[in-house]
Order: sequence, then structure tokens, then C-alpha cells
Amino acid sequence: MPDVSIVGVGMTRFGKRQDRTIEQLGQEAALAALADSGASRGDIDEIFCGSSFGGPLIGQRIFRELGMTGKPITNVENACSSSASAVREAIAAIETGRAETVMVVGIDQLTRLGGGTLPIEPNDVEGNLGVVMPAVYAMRAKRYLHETGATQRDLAEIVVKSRQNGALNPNAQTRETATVEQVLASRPVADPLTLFMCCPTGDGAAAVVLTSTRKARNYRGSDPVRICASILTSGLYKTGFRDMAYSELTADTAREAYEAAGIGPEDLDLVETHDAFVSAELMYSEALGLCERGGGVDLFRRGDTRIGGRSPVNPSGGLLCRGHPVGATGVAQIVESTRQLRGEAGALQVEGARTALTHCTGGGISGLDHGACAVHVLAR
Amino acid sequence: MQTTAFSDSSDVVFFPADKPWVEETDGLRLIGGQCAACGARSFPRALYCNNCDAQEQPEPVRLSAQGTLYTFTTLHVGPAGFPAPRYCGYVDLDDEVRVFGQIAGEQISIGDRLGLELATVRTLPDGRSVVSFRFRKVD
Repeated sequence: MPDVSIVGVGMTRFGKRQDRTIEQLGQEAALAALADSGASRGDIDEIFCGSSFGGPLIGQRIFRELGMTGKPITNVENACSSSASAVREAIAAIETGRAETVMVVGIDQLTRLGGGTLPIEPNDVEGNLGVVMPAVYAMRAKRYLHETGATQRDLAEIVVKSRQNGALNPNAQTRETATVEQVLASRPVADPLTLFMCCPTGDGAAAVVLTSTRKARNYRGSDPVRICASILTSGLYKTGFRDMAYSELTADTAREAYEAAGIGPEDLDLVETHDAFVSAELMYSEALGLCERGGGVDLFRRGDTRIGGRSPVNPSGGLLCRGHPVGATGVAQIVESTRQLRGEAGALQVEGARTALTHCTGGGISGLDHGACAVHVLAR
Repeated sequence: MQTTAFSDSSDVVFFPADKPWVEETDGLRLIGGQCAACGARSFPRALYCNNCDAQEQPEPVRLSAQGTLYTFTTLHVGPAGFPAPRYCGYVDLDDEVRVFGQIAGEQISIGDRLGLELATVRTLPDGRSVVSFRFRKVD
């Protein structure tokens, strides 16, 4: 288990944020995390910045105007897991003794790309034949529904739950509730997914300040949140047949994380998972071990995944409603979960939350189920 | 299975550019790779085997003319130049290689038997057609 704690968190409001440059979004999140921690800019020994579409030297571009250059700044690209991967590197920097207090920023401004689906890698075979991320998730969803008997209406009901949570989250991009009928009647994107079942295109940044647990009290009173596991994997390349109705990659990564933290899924008080498309919440609930394989719909129907349920999933509204500025997501999940564990989550609060898991995965390239997968376990 | 004749011209580009397929009496077949050392097959044929430490490029191998539809979607969104809506999916060829592609026709279901043909899959901004393989349901 890493000997690292989270002493400061901050994030911008997510949404179509053309009112700020990408650098300004990063500065806002970084300063919020510093203020939350009580650390000064000079207390930060190293900076890691996770971004997928932020362009070259995004970290330096954010931090130069804060006078925080000179120290090591490392930029990390790993698709949807970019900033979660950056957190893992930050933990390593602290554990080796190289740095004592580290800042991690996750950021993207997808509106800079002009909207629509994410751009495809020009050398990718499937990309050249017209695959886009909604198609990848839709094909998984189609197979999942085929194998489990779950229906498109089940997917719509989960969106209704996510929307209810998002409506309570002041940082969420989508804050309007929706009915099952409205979800089903929204524009078709990739059968069985309608528009309301897909995360929106948006912008945002999130930041955390990490330090060794023994130093944590120097910064923020008595309530540091410990990082109990930080696991990163990459998808296995397969040219043959692959089970697309179950996420083996997420299941393997979660298993490692549970072992590192010395807990099991039954010990979690809340989960933030990578619901870039609503069907993913079902499949990842299963892969994270919240229920047995194929049991995702029943888990939801029992009310277990709602705030107040046995294992709340995406109390923040998830990627579906908080939004998914790709590189920002990993740190944003950690920010939201840290606030939950501190009891500072306001209307979203899961009562008495002591242990949380954050999970992000993604990146669509041919032959891999996902480019990368990262799981963190946090506790107080 | 009918395949439309496409020839090199200034109006057409092929994808992949090395045209990894061959037309035979039982239809279009894709040319994949098969490692001489371990036997692993893949499509497209890569420069190196992903399954063992072999240094040699996998040999060209003709893959099955047909396969079974594993999953698919009706896609209504981008990128620009692709038809919408379009049908695409993963097809499990009979030699245990899974291939992604566009699918002609509308009445398709998981488990359907599909064969291959050549078709325009995309139009480039300069107006040229991109021709590649595409799946179609067989009786």
C-alpha cells in the first residue's frame, strides 16, 4: 500500500468552457487544490499533468504563469486514463523519496477540437473503416444485451439515475434530469445508444496535491485521505476472438487494486466508474465485483447503486453527467471521491463514506479492448 | 457473392493501400498473416508476430471467405466522409480471426453468416472514394 495521502483537491466546473483558455482552466484547478491543502506554490516539488488532447508541454503552459516552473514537470498521455496514470507517477515520485509534495493536474478542452466524436488515429485500421468511440461501446452494449437479456429501456433507467445525481453536482456539465421516455427519444447515436446515453463533449480541469502520509498533517488538519492502491494496466492485444460482453481488463486491474489495498468490493462505500456510455456502468459494476457477471441490471434495480444504496456507483453523475474532458477524468474522480470521504460532498454525500474506488479506462485502438485502465482505492 | 470491379484510377484509393485481399470463386478473401514459428494468425498482416518472439514477418495467408457476426451497431455519427447511418460490426472469420468492417444491408442479427465484398467505405475531402472490404449477409 502506498504511503501517500491526498491533502488538497480542486476542480473547475465542467462544461463547454470556451470562456477560458485550456491553460486558464488548469490554473484555476491547480490554485483551488493548493488553497484547499494550505500548501504554497513553493511547497510543490514536482508536477505531473495528464492530458490527451492538450498538446505539447501542457503542464509548462499551465504553470509558467503561476511562477511554478524550474521544478520537474512531466506530461502524461494515456487517453481517458491520462491523469489517473499521472497520479500513479506522482505516487512513485513520493515513494522513492525524490519528492515530498506533488501536484497532479488532469485537463482537456475538447471544444478546441470542434465538437463531434473524438478524432481517430490516422494509422488505425478500424478507424479508417469508420469506427468511433460510440460505436465501440455500442457494439459491446449490443453483445451485452444479447447475452444477458437486458434491454435498451434498462439502459435508459440508469441514465435517469445518473441525471438525478448530476443535477445535484455543482461541477457537472449536465444538470438537467430526464425521464426514461426522454432518454429513449433522444437522437440515436449508435444503436442501442441514444444521445442521452453518451457522455457530452466538454472541457475542464481537476487537480490534487499529494504528499507522504507522515507529512500530510503539515498541510491540512486531521483529515487526509490515504491512497490505498494505484494500479495501471494496458489492454491486451488480441487478433482472435474476445469476450466483449465483459471487461476482463477492468476485472484484472480491480483484482490487483483490491489485493494492494487489502480489501474487497464489499468494503467500498462508493465507486466512481468510467461510464463514458451508460452501458459501461453495467459492465464495469460487474467487472469491479460489485455483483456477479450478468448481474448489473439486478444490482441497479435493487437500488444498490443509488446514493443511499449498498454500493453507490457514480454519485457525482459520472462521466455521463459530470462530463468527460478525457484527460481530466481520472483526477476528477479522485477529487469527487476525496470530498465524499471528507464528508464535504454536499447534496451528493454518501453518509459515513470511508472507502472509495475510482476507475477509468479507455482509448480506442484496434486489437485492444482499451488502451489503458487505472484503478485507485482511497480511504480515511 | 458479387464483387464490384474497382481499378486503380485517380478517383479511387484503396484501404489498406496494399489491397490485402484476393477474389476467388467463393468470394473475396482477406489476406492475413500467419507466424511460421507459432502459427498465430492476424489481420491485417503485421511486420512482427504479436504472439511469440519470432523475428520474421508472418507469412501471407488467405483467411476464410465467411464468418459469423459477433456484434454490430447502426452508427449515426461521424467522422466526415463516412455514410450515416451505416452498419458496422465484428465478424469472427472461420479461422479464428476477428475482423471489424462495415456491413451492407439492414436486416442483420448477431450470429448471421457474412461474406466479403469490395465497396466504397468513405469519401475523402478531395472527392476520391476509399475502397475497402465490406461484409454482406449470405444465404
